[in-house]
Amino acid sequence: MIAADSQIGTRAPRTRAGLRLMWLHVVSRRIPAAVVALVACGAVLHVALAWRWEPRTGSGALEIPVLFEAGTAAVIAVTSYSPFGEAERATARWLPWLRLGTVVAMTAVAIGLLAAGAASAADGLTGGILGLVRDAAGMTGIGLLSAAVLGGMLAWAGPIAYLMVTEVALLQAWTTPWTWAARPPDDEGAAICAGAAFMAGLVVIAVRGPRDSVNG
Amino acid sequence: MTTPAPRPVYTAARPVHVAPRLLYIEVRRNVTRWLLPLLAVAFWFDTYRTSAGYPALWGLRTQDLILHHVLPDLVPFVAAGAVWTGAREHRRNAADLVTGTAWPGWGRRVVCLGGALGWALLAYLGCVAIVLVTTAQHATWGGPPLWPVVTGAAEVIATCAAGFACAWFFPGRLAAPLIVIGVFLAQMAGFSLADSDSRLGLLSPATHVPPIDVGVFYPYLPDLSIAQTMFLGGVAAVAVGALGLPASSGGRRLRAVAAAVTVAGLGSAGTAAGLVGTAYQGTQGVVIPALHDAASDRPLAYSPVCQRAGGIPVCVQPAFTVYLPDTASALAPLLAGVAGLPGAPARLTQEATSCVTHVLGCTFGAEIATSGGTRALRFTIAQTPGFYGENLAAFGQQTMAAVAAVLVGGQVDDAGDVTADPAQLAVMAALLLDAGVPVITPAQADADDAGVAGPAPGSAAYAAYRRLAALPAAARHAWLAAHLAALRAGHITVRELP
Repeated sequence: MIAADSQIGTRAPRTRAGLRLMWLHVVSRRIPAAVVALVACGAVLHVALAWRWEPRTGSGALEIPVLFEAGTAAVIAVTSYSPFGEAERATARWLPWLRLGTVVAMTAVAIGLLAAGAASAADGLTGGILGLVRDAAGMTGIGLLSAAVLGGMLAWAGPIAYLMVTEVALLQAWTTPWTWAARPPDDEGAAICAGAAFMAGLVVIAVRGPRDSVNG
Repeated sequence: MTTPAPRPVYTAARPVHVAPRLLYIEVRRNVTRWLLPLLAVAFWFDTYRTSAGYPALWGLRTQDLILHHVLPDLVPFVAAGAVWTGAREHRRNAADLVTGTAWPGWGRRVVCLGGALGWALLAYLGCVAIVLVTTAQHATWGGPPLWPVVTGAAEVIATCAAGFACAWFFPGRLAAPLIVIGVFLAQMAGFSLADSDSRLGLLSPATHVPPIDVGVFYPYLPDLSIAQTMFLGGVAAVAVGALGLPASSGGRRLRAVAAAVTVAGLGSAGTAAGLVGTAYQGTQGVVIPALHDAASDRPLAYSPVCQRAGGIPVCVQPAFTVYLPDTASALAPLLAGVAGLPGAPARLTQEATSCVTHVLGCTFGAEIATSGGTRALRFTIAQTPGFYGENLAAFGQQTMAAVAAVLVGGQVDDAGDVTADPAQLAVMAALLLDAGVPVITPAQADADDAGVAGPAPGSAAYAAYRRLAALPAAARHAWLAAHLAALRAGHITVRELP
């Protein structure tokens, strides 16, 4: 009876402690502000599609969605920056799981918000929701990899550079699956490359974390 | 007894002497320099490879390549460099440390911005130099218009200054990605506005794709470039001035100067917005009455370059010399069939295109006119082989179609559409078929098949066209010699064709 009471007595504080740990992790990564930025991305995507800031056909029709996919990936990538550095690395046992969960949740939120923004526009999204999921996940993977290489604060450079490559690929009709955002949504090779980039980014950021650099 | 050493005398360095050294240190350490290899790759993939298909015409290359290829590739990245620099004090937790320095805050920020701007302008001018040098290697006439270069530099400066200011005022970790995405978005909105009727869209350098012969027959119209430069300069001044407004920027006098710069920038940008509100589309480009110089409406003097084709000289503007052999060889079979006929032109001369907004919307126009006692067929070149996917065969076919149409009395509008009566259409089709041009049905033309549209199968005109095409060349020439004037006047019906 005493044992049972003690189990009940320790589980609740553990849950509370776990929730508090998650909340502190989320706040330290400025994730509430990042979610606001993701909401803004979805809203502006809706406005851009509704006001037809891009042609409805041809390669130009993909430029606006790709831009916001890169934007959300860049936002997610910079949330990987930790202000605590080595001290947190050395003491936080749950850090890899927190990083993993945060990135997966943020990616899901980003895809959901972009899909909502596109769905509420009259003509919808040119590449479809499947294309959106593939592109956003792949670019997030690039952002996470660049966080591991360049540091969390500079992690946005990866998705932005990839955006530039994609713009050229769209204009010049490249067929390589590595420019997956410029490929049709049913392109299996592009889906595999985007998935590989996302998985690689997840593993690297969860296990190793972002690089600690002078610039963050 | 020793005399004490004299105490060193410290004199405060004047800001004017310190600024160059600070700028040198900033330039040496600025992050934008690390972006140069990436910018070089983007330039090579987009601008340089695209330029290979462009005709070597100064106006077109300078305006289109710089404003529509160099800038979209370059500006987001150099803006990113400026944003990264602008957020540096906050990122390195040095904001409080540098607040106490003797150097005024505004000056410090402007020097930091200057470092980022120096590298950005170096990259921009390097790209421009390559565009101009490669054009100079192939151009046969004229020189580069400088206003597009100035406008492009103004866009680089305005974007860097605005990005730097945004990052300084809002230096969080999300600032850099969001500002860079905003720059991309602003450029796309500019392209979008170019396709709309919004005059506000004229403020974006991304607007106004020029005709192929811009600056060839008439001087380059700088009206819009001036307004755009005023607007972008105003944006830059607002951003730089705003950096000097906070209390940490310096003394009251310095902040008053910053406020004046901000107000001047707002005035410049507002004036430019007002000016483009009065803009209208002239025959040679966008005209802004307050900035327009009437001298720009006078055609440029030149000596045409000619080559005989089928016995008739074909003359083009010297800037198009490289396309003369293709034009002449394309027209030779057609002109050989009509040379010497009454009413046939004595020469063909190239004229300026009248389509001034979208290159892709312009095709070939032509008309016959008598000038100085010489009957000349005036034609336009709105597309050249290799440009926007145009191939040599299509180039020849379009030129011949326009020339054949006006030879038989038809008319060609700016969109390249032929207006002719059935008899004229039948004769035109027969002449083109004899010259080796594939004549297709209107349905095939609607499906974008290669060839020139002739009469619809089953019509009387189609039957007449097939009869005329089956005639020996000598018999057709003899009939045309007797009836071309009447055909051109519209007095011949389909039934009267042989």
